[in-house]
Amino acid sequence: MASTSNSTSSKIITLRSSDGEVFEVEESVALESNLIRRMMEDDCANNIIPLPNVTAPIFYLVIEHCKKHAEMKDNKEKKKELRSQGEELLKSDPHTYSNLMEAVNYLDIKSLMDLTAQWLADFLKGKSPRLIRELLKIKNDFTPEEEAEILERNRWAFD
Amino acid sequence: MEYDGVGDEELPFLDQTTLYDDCLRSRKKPRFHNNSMIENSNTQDFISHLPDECIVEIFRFLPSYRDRCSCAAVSKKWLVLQAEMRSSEFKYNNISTLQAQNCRASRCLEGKKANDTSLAAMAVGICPRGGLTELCIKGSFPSQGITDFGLKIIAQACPSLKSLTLWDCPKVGSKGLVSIAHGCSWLERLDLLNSPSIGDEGLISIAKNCPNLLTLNLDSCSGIGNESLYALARYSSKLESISLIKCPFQGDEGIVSLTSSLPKLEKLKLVSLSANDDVLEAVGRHGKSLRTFCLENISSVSEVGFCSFGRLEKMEFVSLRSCTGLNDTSFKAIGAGFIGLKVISIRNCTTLSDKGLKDLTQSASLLESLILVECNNVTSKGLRELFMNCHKRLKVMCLVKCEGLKEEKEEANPNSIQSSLLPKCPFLESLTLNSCAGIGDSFLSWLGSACHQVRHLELMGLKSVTDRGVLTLLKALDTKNKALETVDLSGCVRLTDWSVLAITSAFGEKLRSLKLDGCERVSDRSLEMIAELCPCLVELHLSSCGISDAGVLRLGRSRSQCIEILSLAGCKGITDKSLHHIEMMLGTLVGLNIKQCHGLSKKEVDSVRDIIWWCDVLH
Repeated sequence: MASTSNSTSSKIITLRSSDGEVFEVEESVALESNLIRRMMEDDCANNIIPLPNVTAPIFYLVIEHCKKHAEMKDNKEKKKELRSQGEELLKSDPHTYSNLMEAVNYLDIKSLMDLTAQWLADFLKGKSPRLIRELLKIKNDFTPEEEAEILERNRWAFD
Repeated sequence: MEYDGVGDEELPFLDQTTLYDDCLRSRKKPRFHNNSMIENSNTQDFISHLPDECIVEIFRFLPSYRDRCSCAAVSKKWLVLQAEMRSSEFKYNNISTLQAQNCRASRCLEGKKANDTSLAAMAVGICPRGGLTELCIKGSFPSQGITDFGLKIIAQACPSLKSLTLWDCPKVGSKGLVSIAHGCSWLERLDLLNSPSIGDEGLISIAKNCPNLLTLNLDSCSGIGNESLYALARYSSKLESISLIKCPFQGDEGIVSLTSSLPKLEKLKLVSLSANDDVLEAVGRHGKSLRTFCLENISSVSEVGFCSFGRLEKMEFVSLRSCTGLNDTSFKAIGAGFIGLKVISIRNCTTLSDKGLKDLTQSASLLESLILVECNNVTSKGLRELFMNCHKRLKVMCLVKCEGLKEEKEEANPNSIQSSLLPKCPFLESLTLNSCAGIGDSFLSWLGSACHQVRHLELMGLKSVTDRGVLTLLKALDTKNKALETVDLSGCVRLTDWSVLAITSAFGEKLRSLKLDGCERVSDRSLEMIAELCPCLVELHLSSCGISDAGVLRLGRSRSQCIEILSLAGCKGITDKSLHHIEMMLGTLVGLNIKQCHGLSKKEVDSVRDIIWWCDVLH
């Protein structure tokens, strides 16, 4: 059980992750998620909201980043810091990254979606197709001719 | 509030969440998956299991165009996802300058390269530059050709597409064309050949959504029927040019409705269709803007149809081939109706008589070009009438396989047609006589009396013509201005070096092309003259001529040569020595045909290939 807020002024929402852990989250934070927002609008917030697609460790990360994001709204320094954290995560624990992104997508949190997408985009920047495949372990399913054709078609971009 | 019941309540919750899940998905833009393109998705990597919208979201943040291209080259899935993105979806859209620079872009995919992967790659490459304006796809590998999916990507990436050509794309159906219709509303030209899966639905959508359509060509598209033509008649009022070839429309109603409701139609081509007199009548009544009319292989039209044309004053180019109903009356009606006629081509028409030719040309006094192919009933009498009527303007005369053109037996007869001179044609610049077996020397000199400024002379396959005939024809030409530029005497087997001497000495200075293929009696002496007298010659064809190494040596030694294309195919007298002489022509040669030269060794040919590597050598 984890409480993410001590404030009594705002309403607390209770959520349950796929592995059974129950979270209490401040409403303002929970409402960042469009999924939760819609569930509440449809009046099922009196119960614990189940999140069958999100595990507890990932949900922690989500909450953490939601808060960070809320804090750094007007702070450019922190924004930069948050953006640079992505590369570390991608290098050290790509699986967590992809689980995080999946959860963010499922919960439909716009701000975090932008952030996590930005992380990977930054990571991809300047890398060759071959290096990208190697780092992300993506299988090359082009035939050699197709690959040559694609590079040929877009060669002007690489000059 | 906490919830304490587990177990039984799990189920409704699950239902609820899946419900939300669905509603969530429906609010997001759906991404189209094509399983035929993505065959083996690898589960090993941790990116691929992300939903497509996540990956698209990542691509949205790619900083530069270069990175987009890199990502597109990673895997098929990534390529497809990139290809489906519009340039407005990218966050950093810093390519507006490129867009302005490349407002016109055209691409052609042929053969093996005509597949969906190439189209997707192209879409990624071209999208930020505003897309293509012209796309041409010529498939030839049915198993891997493009599909509706490829066209869908193109429709998305190229909103300003103006011209689309699909040849041999059996896998493309109406669905692909519908995407094009919705995505490319500026389409002006659509060209479909041998794409039988495209049905009326596709073409109707084009008619409804592409109001700027100007040109439509349909060839061998068996799925397209009358419904399409009705829709085009109704919506495509800007259409200027229509060509319908081998499309089995049911009945003529579609074509009639098309011709009668398109006021701007300038060009109409109907080939191998079931069209009857009603179609011709509709053309006559409504085709006031028609400039070009082409009717080929139509077997159910009659004299009545041709006579109902009436006056179509703007008509300039007419081509008739293998049609029924063409007789003296129809030709008279055509001549009288098409008073502005400039070019007429009549092919495979045995019913064209001398009288027909006379009547046709009598009122069509503006006629500049006449092409007759396999019109066996035309004789020198008809030809004389033609020259009488049109000599003032005639520019091009082409007679191919007209068996009725013959030598007159009694040459001495003062009343015979060929003993009287023809009126001079001051503007006749191109004369072609091809495979008219009856034409001999006296016919040629008779025809020569009409020539003066001919620049292009083609006398092909005239087996009974000798040097005498060619010489008298040349005498009639204006030698002062040296007008002759191209001469083709291929297949005139009786010609010798004398003809070549006459041509080169009188016209060598400006001669650019000389073809003597199959003139076996032409020998090294001709080459000597060509080398000395033809400084501008670019093309020289000597296939199966009686030349040897000595002649080629003369050619190679001449300093002022600028020959680019040389054909020596089937010359028996040529040996490896010639190759060394050809090397002397360094620099200018771009095409060399030495097929079936049995005197050449492979080794030497290969070594020549290495030396003149820029030249296309056929062996």
